[in-house]
Amino acid sequence: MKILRLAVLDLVRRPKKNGLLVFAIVISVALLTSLTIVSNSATSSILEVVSKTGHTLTIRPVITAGIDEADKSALQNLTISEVVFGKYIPESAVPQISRIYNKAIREGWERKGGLVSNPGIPVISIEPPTWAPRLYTKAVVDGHEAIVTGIDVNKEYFVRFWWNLSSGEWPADVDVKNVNTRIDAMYVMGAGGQVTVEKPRYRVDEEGKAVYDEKRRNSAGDSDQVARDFAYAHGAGDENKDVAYLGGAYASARGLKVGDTVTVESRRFRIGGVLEETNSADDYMVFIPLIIAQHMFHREGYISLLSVRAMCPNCPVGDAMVELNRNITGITAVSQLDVAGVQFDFFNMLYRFLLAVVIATIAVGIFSIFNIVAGSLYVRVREIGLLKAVGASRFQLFRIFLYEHLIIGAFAGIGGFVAGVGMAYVLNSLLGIGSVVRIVPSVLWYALALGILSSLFAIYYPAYRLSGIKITDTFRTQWEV
Amino acid sequence: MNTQNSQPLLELRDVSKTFKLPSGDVRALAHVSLGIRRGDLVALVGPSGSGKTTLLNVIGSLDRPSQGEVLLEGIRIDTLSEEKLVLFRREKFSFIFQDAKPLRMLNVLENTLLPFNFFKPKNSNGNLKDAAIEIITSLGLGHRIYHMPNQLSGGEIQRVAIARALITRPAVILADEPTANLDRTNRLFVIETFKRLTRETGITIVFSTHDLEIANISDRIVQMKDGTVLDEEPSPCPPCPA
Repeated sequence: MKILRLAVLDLVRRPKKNGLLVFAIVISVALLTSLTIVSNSATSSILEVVSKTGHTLTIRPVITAGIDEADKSALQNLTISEVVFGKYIPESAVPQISRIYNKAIREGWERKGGLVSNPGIPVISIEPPTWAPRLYTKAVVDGHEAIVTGIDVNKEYFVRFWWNLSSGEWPADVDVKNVNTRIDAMYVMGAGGQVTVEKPRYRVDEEGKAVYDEKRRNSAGDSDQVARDFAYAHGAGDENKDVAYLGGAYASARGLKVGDTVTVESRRFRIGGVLEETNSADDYMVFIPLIIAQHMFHREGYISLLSVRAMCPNCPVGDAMVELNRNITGITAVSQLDVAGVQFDFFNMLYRFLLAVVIATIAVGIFSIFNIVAGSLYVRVREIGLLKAVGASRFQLFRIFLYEHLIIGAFAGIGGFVAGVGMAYVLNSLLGIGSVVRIVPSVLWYALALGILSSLFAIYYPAYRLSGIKITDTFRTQWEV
Repeated sequence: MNTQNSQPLLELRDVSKTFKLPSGDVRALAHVSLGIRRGDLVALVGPSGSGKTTLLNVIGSLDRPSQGEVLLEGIRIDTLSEEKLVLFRREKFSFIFQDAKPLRMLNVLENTLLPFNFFKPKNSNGNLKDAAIEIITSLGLGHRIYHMPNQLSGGEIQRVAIARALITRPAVILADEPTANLDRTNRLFVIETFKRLTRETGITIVFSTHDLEIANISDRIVQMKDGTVLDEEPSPCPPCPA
């Protein structure tokens, strides 16, 4: 304890030199800490996306090759991430998409050697996938242009299971407690998850508008529900169903809350809920029922996006993506797992580059620290001689230096951690990673260890050499500082 | 001269010390033989480079002789290992250096007790702090006990060094030019203190000096030149007046 006290007192009496030393180490620790935090945060964000959407395939129209030739007066073509305006997928293509998808998944599983039905042996069943269609339009909402997205709330809630309401309630028929069991679909599921469309519910009239065809309803065996939906979409249905859900950022920007109404073009919707922000385009959208959106914007029988959430562990959605892109022209299937993989690879490359820069910086920094330490020790030569003369052994002297630099290293480690957290926020915004900065507690221990090790590394040689100096030399030698 | 004990406490037998330098060997001590008794106050005098400091270092086992033997209380110390020498020095020697200032971060009392940061006192009976205060007060620093070194004069700093040397109750105090930077009053105070200590405690003190007035107050004067002892004589005026 006495030696520790001497070390502490000695530190206190050299605030400038020790402050400089702490600062030098803080820079090194902060650099590595910030890089680690940013890396962890970005990796976590990517993994979070993977866990959310890893088994989800999104299918959207190809921008350059239109498949909606009927829509000559479409809104201007525009793509924001998965949001495509002015290009559509006909619902009549969905059965083919479903067929190819299911075949690819099944074959993929067979290649993996899983889920091949053997007589008498029960196997894990593949739940049918969930298909969630969307229709993107740009429309005037309360006098301002906005992205209005038609969705089937039940399906959307199921596919985007990370959706949460910050206020409001889901429709009563959304099974929020056990959403994974909800398979009933807008598209009717056949055996084995095969999708069929009760087609053709619509026909295009002379003016290019889609109209419901009663004759076809009967011949195709449409249910009464379809007829009711059609009637409701045309304004004759239950007005309680004219419910809109708002993205969090949109609601916040417009000052809208649950219970208010929004007017989309000329139709009023009661706001049923506001979504929590998810850092996606959804935050800026107004969601209305798909069937109404299709009717209002004259897109009956068309959708902008089809999300498919596979319902098996490690479903080979990549295989399905490849098969869909190969066999159906006019659509682009994208596996979110692949998107995340590309992001991950890019970030890994960036991380390695930055790590190399940081390590080089730290190496230079430690050399500087070494010089500072050596300088500060050599000016203490006579003091070292005095301590030896009064009875300090070499080991005791070494301990004084050790304690001093343990303290310096600890302070620098903590300071470096704090500075590193700050730098992480700056780096995060500069690099545009867009992820939330996540501070993992273990990084503090790494920072502390790095600070202490840097400090001890810098002190070791000078301390070893000086603690072994002869007393007589301390009073006769001119030491270079 | 203190004649209580005729057996030499310290004995140097044909001691030589040669420093090997890039420019060639330098012989600092040549065939020095010397006996110093318990309670002696011995002054080493001579011009610069005569070997005074080297002789003090060899006596205090801070340097090993190139040749010859150094004995303390009959034990040969020049052949002890470094580890044993550390223990031996703690037990038997205290040093006062011309340039060794007290530690700046410790006050007078703490500087006096500095050695006990590294080892336990020989006899731990009694309060060390009280003992230190007694020594400090006896050296005229009673009003400076809790002062920091930067608040002290040169003479007071040297008295702190003496207090620190005394606290361990050594057999021998070795002082290299202890009065070099002091005014006459302080020089005399230091040397009178040395004399009093040798009388009262039986401590042997060997110091080097250029100052003959100071040397003359000691019990013995050892004249040195070119690494050899020219003459060894008792002080001309024992006991000299203060």
